[in-house]
Amino acid sequence: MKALLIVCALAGTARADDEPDDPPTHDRLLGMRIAGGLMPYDDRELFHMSLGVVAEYRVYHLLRLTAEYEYLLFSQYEDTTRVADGTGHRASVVARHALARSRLLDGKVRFWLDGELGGGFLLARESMAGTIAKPQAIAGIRLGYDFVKFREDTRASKVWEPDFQFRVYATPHQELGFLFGVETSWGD
Amino acid sequence: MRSVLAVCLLAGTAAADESPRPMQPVSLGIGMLGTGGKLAGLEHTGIGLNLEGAFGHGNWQGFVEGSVSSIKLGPETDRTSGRALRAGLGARWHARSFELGDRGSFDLYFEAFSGWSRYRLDDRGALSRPDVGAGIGYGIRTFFGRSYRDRGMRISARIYFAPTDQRDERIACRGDCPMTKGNTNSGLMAVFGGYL
Repeated sequence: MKALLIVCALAGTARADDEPDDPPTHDRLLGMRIAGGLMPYDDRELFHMSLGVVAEYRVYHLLRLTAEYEYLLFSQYEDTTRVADGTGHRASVVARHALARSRLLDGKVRFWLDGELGGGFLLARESMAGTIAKPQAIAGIRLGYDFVKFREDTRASKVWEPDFQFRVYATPHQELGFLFGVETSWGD
Repeated sequence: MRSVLAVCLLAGTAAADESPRPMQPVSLGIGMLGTGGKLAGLEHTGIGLNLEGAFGHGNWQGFVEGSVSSIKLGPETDRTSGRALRAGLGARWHARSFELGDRGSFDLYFEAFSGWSRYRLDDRGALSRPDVGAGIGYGIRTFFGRSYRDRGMRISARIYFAPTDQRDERIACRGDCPMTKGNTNSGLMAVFGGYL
């Protein structure tokens, strides 16, 4: 049902870059992300979960720049037995731009689809590999919606923005990993 | 007496109109605690009951908490279970709030905490450790009149760090720890529950 609503909203969407009468609703975002994915390393598949903090700033119209920090937990399983584990940190900077967005429905809700490009650096310690330090290129898409503030006489955040995201991470060694996450942000 | 009542009413009105809504002056919470990470160099998971008492002022809240958990420790081939007791304290910053009119809000929190845990393993004795960490919380709050009547639900995802030493590892692994690295164990802790 939710997917159907999103599709309907996007079908009634205008292009993402030419709506002077429907300006962006917020300039800054602060939020959190919980994510999981796979990261190849030395012919091994490391599963990871991450907890992240994201801060975002709108640099031009619908172009936003995001700074992120993630704490990661790694594990590798053979059958059901964990054979390796570790923890790590990743800092990233990502540019994000709207690909499609709906109009502001009823003045309260807007659905959107964004694309992302960026880079990050991973520093981790893992039981089999020891220290892992590597840069990563990032490409991804995000699908979400904005709730725009329900009342004018408030100094609380203007926007609440939950979204799903899918990212691909590439390393200089042609290793490709992916991450699926759920992010919730507050916009001002 | 009438003027005192009038002042109290006005003070209450002002508080009710504050935006964003402040933290409750006093709140009690009950919830589930889940942990996953390392204990004495071994993989460790736990789930249990967490109780919290909190004192708020503006966008800040101090809290004390206590939990009792059932835990599992070690790889599947050599796993043991046990119980854990944990006491902790911390501070919580109400960083952002999105208000649903005057009915409630979606809230973002940041937390810092410290605690002490005692683990009793079924067949390997007991050990204890302190922990320190930070977390992010997401809450849904329902407004009822003044802020101290608010109720809500919150999930906090936390990263914790805890020291370990060879004595703990000898207890946990019965002398042979295959995956021990470094002298700090870390992991994730999640607290999910309601408060009023």
